[in-house]
Amino acid sequence: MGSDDKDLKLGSVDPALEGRFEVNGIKVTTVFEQVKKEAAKYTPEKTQKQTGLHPDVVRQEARHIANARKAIIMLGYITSSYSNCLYTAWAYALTLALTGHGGRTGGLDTSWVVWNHPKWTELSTFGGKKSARYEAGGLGEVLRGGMMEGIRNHFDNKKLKERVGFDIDEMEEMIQESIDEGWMPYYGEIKGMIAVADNTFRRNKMAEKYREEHLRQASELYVNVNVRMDSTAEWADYVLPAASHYEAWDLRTQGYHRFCNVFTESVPPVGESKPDWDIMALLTKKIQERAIARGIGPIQDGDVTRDLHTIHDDYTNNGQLMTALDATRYIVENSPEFGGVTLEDAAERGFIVLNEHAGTNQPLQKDQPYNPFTAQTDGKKPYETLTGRITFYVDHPRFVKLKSTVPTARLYAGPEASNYPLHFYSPHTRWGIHSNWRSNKYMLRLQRGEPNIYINPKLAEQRGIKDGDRVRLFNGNGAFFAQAKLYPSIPADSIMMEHGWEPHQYIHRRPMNNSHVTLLQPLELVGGWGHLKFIYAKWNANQVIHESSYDIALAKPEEIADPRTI
Amino acid sequence: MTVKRQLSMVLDLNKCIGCQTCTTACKLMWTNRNGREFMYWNNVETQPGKGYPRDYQNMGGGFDEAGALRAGRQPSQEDYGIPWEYNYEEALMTGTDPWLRPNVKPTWGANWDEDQGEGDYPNSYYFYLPRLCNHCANPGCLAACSRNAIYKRQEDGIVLIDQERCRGYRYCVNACPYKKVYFNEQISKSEKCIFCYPRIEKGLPTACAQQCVGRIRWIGYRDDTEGPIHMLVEKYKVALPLHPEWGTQPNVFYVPPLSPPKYGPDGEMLDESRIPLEYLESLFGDGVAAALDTIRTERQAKADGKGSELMDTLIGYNHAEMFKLS
Repeated sequence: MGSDDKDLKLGSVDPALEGRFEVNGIKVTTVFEQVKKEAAKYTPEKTQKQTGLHPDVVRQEARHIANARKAIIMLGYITSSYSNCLYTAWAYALTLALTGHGGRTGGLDTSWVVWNHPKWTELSTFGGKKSARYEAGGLGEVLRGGMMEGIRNHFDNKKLKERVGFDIDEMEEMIQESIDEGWMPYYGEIKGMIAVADNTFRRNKMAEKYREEHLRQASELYVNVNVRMDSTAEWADYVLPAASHYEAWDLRTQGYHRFCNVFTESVPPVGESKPDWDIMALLTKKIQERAIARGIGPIQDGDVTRDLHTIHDDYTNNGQLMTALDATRYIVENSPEFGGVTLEDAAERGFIVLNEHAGTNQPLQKDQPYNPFTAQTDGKKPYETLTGRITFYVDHPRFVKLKSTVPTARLYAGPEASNYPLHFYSPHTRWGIHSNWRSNKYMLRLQRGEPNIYINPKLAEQRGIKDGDRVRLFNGNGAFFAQAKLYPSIPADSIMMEHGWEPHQYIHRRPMNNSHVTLLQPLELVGGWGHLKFIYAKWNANQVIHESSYDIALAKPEEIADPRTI
Repeated sequence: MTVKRQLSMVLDLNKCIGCQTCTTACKLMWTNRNGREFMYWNNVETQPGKGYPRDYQNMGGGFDEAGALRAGRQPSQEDYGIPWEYNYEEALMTGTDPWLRPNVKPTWGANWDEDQGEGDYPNSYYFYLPRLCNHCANPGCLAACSRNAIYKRQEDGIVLIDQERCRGYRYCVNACPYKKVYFNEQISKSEKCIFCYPRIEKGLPTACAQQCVGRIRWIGYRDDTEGPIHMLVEKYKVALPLHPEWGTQPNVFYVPPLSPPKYGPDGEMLDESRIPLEYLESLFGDGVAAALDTIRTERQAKADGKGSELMDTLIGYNHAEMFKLS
């Protein structure tokens, strides 16, 4: 076991973990009893059929975790791309709790999201004085992008219910309930868009429908700030050319490491392009000028006002932060987590080592690992939960309804919830982040030069497909074409395709995402129950993007022909 | 061939993630122009696989057991892969082409069989093998050159082609069994990896090593008994040359990859490595089993908190210790 220390400071109180009691005439039992009872349903012998994992392997892994001096399970985005993520994550937390891994001995780590950067936040939220509206990302994308239609086209309602415990009608009802009850904010249609740093028409599922919906809603104005002609820039009314990496002052940090990289303007921006910050300074200048000229004053929006007549002054801190260099200097020289380094020194070194103020949950100590939740295990600070502890019992009505009050297991939707037999995995590209560099010729020459799928040789043989053939992938929402590449490391009932390809790289510009379907997990949309309420980047529903499935066939020549075939 | 000193590189295949950053660093520094577009002085290939150029391991070259040059052949353009171009302007700006695509139908490339390997799920296996000129002690290319255009530098053993003397006869291309000499049709001369000698002369490591995100590469002199090459090649004998039987005496060495156990029919773990030992021995010779044993033992020692000089080196804590260039 990881630790024999008692984490709770309870004095002489020795709480019952197990047993059945009667309190004021009511029969009660402990959460631990309930958790044990539920877990007993899922012995390694019983789960082998579903998981394909031999019981010995499961036990070996469990003992491996239990015996480790320290064990951290890092919950990344892949798990959250399945509808049963919440169950998986809760089981991770339970595994770690039962094996004594918390704080210095490990735990569930989601700290990779971000470090504490108060000055950054101050600039991005205008000091919280006129905070932007936030929504649960997946909820807004699914509803505003018209994705429900695609969900209905793809999944078999009855099969879906058997797999995940709810069908599409129930999912839709629960989505509506979450909005009506105010558990999850949703602000409806957009009127205009200035999009920065998001290739949204590449990224989103049901891509064509999503794009049509957004361009219809924002038909008056769709602006894209971009370094290249990507699939979003292609559809914008205006593209504002942005300075690229090494052409603008910039800072990058992320939670996997404790360094902030400092980007200098090594070369001047190409042509008329400008850093994002400068573009926004110029845009707000004009907006403010026109707002004053047209006599547009404060616009009430909930608790705050939207002040177009002072937007430039607000954005630039009254003219002090006009350029990317100004903003970078302000953040570097005023951020407590950077320890008072000058911008010149930081640029010379290339990076800044974050100090104790960077820790979000507890100080980030020099020369010590940033262990998850030591403020709670060592410092006895309550967790930000309803009970102040790691919670293994939730009696929110929806958790009760979906029989999920304690950690349990559910199947993901997958092919079994549809009429298309092949699992479909769409991991990150090997050498890019999403669509960044996806159409770069040097990188393309190191793969197949065009979008390709990965297929097990046995499946390929069954379907008469050879390496290099062009194939058609199809489901209830349509089809796309790609080159087949043999890949023995994937099961024969699965297809894999790297996800970042631009729609304009596909034959007929018909991307994977046109037919790639998504789901929402209703449990992730609950609110009004202690810590289970909408909190940006902590509790909000994402799209469940790995639940799509396909069938595959050799492409017919007429399907992929074009007048200028090469 | 005797030189005063010999620079050398060790690559740990356990750490290579196949990201091609080395390939790209080399490409952008040396081979993205002037007839070199098809060349990868540094490439990363999946093994088992056909490699780059395609099937190079069966093209001959090198030396026979008696020390005589073996016949070899020159790869075709298709074996290297055509460096296709794209219609960016027509597809994205003028709209005159329907979509973005290569100007030739891709049928082979430098990394075409990436991740394919051998075996079948869940017992499939493969690993990445980054390759550059081995700057051999007994270079086949040098022996084959009738112009005396190829030489080894006395101060560091780097093998170079004198571009003034080269007449483009291509005997060197045929003679190198690793196919790391390329013929530039645009200038009718042979070209190859120069171990980034302009960087080396400034005390900097090669671009491929400097940029390696997996920190899998060590550079140093063979005679530096305090350096990483001596430790990995001579002291612990965990770094081995690729195809020593080809007789060129490479100065690039590889730490062979360990692999996870195979699964049985019911998903149980078997006491058998996923990558067959015989396969690794066919690449790196007889020293593989001992090298893998040493790595396993030292890894366990490190995991048990006992410390390991070898593992501390292989982890590669800082570049200054990984690159000993003086």
